[in-house]
Amino acid sequence: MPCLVKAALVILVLISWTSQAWAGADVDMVQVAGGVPIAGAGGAASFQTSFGTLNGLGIGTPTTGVTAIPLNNGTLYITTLGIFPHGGLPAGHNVIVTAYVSTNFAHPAALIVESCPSTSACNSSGQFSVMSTNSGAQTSVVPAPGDPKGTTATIGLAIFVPDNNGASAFAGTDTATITYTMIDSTNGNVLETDPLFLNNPNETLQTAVQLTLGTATGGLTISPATDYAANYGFVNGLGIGPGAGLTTTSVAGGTVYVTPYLLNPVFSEFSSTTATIKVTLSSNFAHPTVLQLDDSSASGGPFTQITAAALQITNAAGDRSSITRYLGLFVSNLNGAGAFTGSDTATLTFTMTVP
Amino acid sequence: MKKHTPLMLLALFAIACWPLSAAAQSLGLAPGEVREKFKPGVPFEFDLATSNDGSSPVEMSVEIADFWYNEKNEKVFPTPGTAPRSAANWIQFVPERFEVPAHGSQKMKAIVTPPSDAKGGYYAVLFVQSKPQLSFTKSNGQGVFTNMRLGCLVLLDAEKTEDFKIELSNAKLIPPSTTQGLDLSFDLLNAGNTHVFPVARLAVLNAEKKLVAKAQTEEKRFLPGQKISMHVTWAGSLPAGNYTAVLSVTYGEDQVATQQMAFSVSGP
Repeated sequence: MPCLVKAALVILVLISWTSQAWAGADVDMVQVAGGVPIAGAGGAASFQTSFGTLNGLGIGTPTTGVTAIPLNNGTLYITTLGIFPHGGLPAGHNVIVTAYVSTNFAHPAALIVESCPSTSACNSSGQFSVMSTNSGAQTSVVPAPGDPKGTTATIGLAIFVPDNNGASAFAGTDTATITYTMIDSTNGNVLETDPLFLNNPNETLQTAVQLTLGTATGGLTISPATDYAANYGFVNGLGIGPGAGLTTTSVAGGTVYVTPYLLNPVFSEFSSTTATIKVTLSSNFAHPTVLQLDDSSASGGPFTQITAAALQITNAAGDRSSITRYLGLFVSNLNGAGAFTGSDTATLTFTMTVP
Repeated sequence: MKKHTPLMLLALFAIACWPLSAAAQSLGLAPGEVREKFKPGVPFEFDLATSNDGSSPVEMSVEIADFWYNEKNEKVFPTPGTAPRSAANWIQFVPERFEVPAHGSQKMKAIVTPPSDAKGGYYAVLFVQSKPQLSFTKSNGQGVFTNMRLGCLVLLDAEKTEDFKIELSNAKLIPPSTTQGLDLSFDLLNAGNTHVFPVARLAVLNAEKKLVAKAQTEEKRFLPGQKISMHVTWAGSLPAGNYTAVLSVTYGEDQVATQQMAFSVSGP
């Protein structure tokens, strides 16, 4: 009876060993701390992962293991993964790894695969470069002297999502496959090629919009708090002694105190290359006959009064094209009934939509 | 006194740095446009995220309006339920009010409950807006406070109920000359019941039926009933002779409308 148990144990061991050998995997791709989960580790012939939902502005929380790094022309989504050689290497031999995008995204202008070698920390955008799409000229991922058996080399993988508006814009799901070639560093023999499918699930690319309201050179400082406030300070109907950041223009019935400010629209993956920005007076001054707000594209005017009806600032705002605009506060020189001195406030709402 | 010097330096440093990081703030929204197909009568949902790149938390709220167009073909955002093909009253937001931390983001969910008799396209806009609020007390002058709204256009489509149809009219072709390029203008009407994003392509064939010029427009959004004049331009020149312009407008999922026009280019 003990013989039977031993025989069964031997058979079990043989079956387990055969199973791993049949898979032909001497090198695994594995999840590392802080990296994306990798499906297929443990002797598989292919591996799967995903970068989840992406957008060109890095808005939202990326999927587990992915970090979004906003850049000035898009967002780089980075992650790390491990190369773990566990067999097939003679003693003293290492594995070096190259890779290429064997099946690129169907929208290569919208989603660009980048790579970072094991010799870098792979935690900043400068360490990543565009991965080759050519099997004959692959990107070095684990360079010589390579990675010894039983040791995990951490490499970086990224998807760059550029702003990409216009004809090549894309929003939807897409996938790509990267093929890693595992090479014996001593004799140059290819140990195996492992495809990594970015399909677990497919990547989802979204449109995104962003608007920044900021201080223009020579203009009033835009306040930091929940809203953006510009304090015009003391003003009068004669335009005497305007505060810093203000200029004055005399107009019929009073004076316009003018400050420049900046609007910076950013948008990504829209078929339109332009955005619309409008402004409305959402809360008026308590003394609207004395004080009114005006908009202009130039410091000297002409000025258009901003009212509760939406006033279009532009319907041709370009992506990342800063717009200098001029906000005018008209102060009436009215005397007699209706005249007003004291403090007052109003609220403007800026609305951006694309297209 | 010496004990306090590091603290004072730290305080001065903080004061010096504060205006730099605070001089501008950014609000972001993703997606900035939603195009979804739905089954009539079957609720569905989609996620949005908003971001605050500023150095202070921002209180935000969501406002839903209809999305349509006016007689000038400008997009307008009327009160929910007042525009043709309104979807605003179908949509609920969770949460409706929230605070986005400094340099942080907030996820939101839009739950859409379409009626069972929906056919074709329906439209709304989701505005994520910062709450107007005084950032500091004003006691000595006139203050202007602003908040921002970012709009996400929502284009919904009841699947298998779409009627894709466009009508081309008033096609006019100006042949290229020494002073201007070729210009083909035409009116395009979306006569269907859902939105389309047509792209117009122009091919110019010479007398031997050989392609000598081609051009195309950008994709353009047409809501149902919307009629817009479009132009295809080509900046090149053609030798004197007789030509045929073939206009193809692709739209919908696999629809094409075509029109041919003969024209001549005279010698200089």
